[in-house]
Amino acid sequence: MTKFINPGLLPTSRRNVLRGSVLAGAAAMTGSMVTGSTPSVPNPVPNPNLPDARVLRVQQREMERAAPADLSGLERVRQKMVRPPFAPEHEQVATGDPKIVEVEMVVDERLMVVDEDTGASIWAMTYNGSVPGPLIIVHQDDYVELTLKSLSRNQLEHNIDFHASTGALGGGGLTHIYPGEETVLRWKATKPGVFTYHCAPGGAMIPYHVCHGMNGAVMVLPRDGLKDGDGNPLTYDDIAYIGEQDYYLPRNEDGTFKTYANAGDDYAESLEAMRTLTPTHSVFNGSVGALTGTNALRSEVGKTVLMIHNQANRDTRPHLIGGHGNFVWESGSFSDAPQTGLETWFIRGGSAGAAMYTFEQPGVYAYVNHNLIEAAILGATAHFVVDGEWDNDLMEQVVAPRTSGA
Amino acid sequence: MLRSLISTAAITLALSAPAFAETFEVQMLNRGEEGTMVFEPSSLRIATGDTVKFIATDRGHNAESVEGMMPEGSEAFVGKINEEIEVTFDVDGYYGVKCKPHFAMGMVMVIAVGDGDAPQEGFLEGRMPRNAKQRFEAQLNAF
Repeated sequence: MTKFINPGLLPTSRRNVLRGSVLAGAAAMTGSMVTGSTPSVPNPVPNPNLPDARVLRVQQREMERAAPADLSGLERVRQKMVRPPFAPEHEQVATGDPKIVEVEMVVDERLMVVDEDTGASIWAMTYNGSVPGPLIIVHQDDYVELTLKSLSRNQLEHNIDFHASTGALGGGGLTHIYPGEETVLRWKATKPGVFTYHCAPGGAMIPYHVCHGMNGAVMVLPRDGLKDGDGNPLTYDDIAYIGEQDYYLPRNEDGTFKTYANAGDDYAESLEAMRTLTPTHSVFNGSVGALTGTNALRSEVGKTVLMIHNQANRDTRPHLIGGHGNFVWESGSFSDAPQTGLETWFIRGGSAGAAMYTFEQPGVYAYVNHNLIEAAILGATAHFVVDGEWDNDLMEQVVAPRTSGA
Repeated sequence: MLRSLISTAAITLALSAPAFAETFEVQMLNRGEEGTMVFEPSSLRIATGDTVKFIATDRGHNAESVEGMMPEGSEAFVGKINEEIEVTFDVDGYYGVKCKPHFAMGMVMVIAVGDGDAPQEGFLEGRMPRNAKQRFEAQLNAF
């Protein structure tokens, strides 16, 4: 008899039934139910605590109810996207009324080399095949109409959040697409400035995608162009569009970087690497050396360059070695007067900023993240090679290095 | 008072529930028999009141119900990444389960609760990634 009442002799499943069925009965009131959880590894990743589906349905209903936007009479133009560090063709001062500017971006997951010397590589997640994604340029009160496509051969879900836009998580809530799908989003550029855009599929996938290169910048120019603090017009000859990318690449036990067969395969290990908050690389335009040596940016004495710096995830501090920031919108807002004559400026993670400089001396300028460890060891260096005539008034080597006897 | 009525009802239900509820294990894997990023097994039939435990054999996965792929009256569940959740299924019908970060790669499974020989209407009709749909179809055919 004792054998029967000794729970130790009952089959495990039977015990589960007794305990579990009470729970199951309670659960029957609500349907299926999670009865317990065990983190099997030390680092379970929290779920984003989003509002429930009802809230989203309300938003959907409001969208369906909303009056159509009046876009009658607006001219449509198509802006051809170009690869960074270049900028699309555009006017600095807008002619005519606000327009609908159509742009197309294709999501492309591709294996990219991060550093040839170490063999570090990543299945980058890109807009149009580049890190950063292409620069979009419109004027205030223009409409951006984006067609976002995802290649059929992609592995993952993607979307886009424009910091320059208003509503629906920056468009992130309306643009989730799977491989082989496309979507069209229109938003009005109400605020002038330079702004980040990035992929934001939800939860830990957000930093995972952003730290795999899925970000870029939009520049919304005032209709009458850029101005200094006194309201005088400022113009530029060229744009240098620089996206700084922090990568967190998983390593093998011997310290070499891991390689993966497919986009998405590195998810768990990337999460662990990102958790350190210590990037293995911080590079300009996708890889170490993308803007140095033969890939250096070119300019001339007397020419003015607008340097647009995007960092979607992490703080940085650009500095032009041998030059300055003559006019700097470090927060990115063109509603504010630019700061002048800066040595180094600060770009907050999750933003873009702009700095204007007119070259006065020929030669090589290094454009760096002036955390010099990040510049020299993690990769955050670009070069400008500038042609023109030297000005001894600004600087002269009075005595070349020689033995001093000191 | 209402609460005690409800718990009484729950206990009554519990006592009348079938006595031999079981717990099944499903592994979350980077690579399995069906390819990369899989639940194993990916087709599972269980009895009403049985429990499924999702095992994080490989890291970077979670298990969660797919909206629109659950029987009426059932409640959604969402595990965290790397979390081993146990889910008890008390409502008969077919459930689509996905790993959120690898949904587009086709990391899905079907759990059939009870004896129903076909999924509820519209089970496969929601918008979903192509790879997920292909695997769902194969999983339904495997029952």
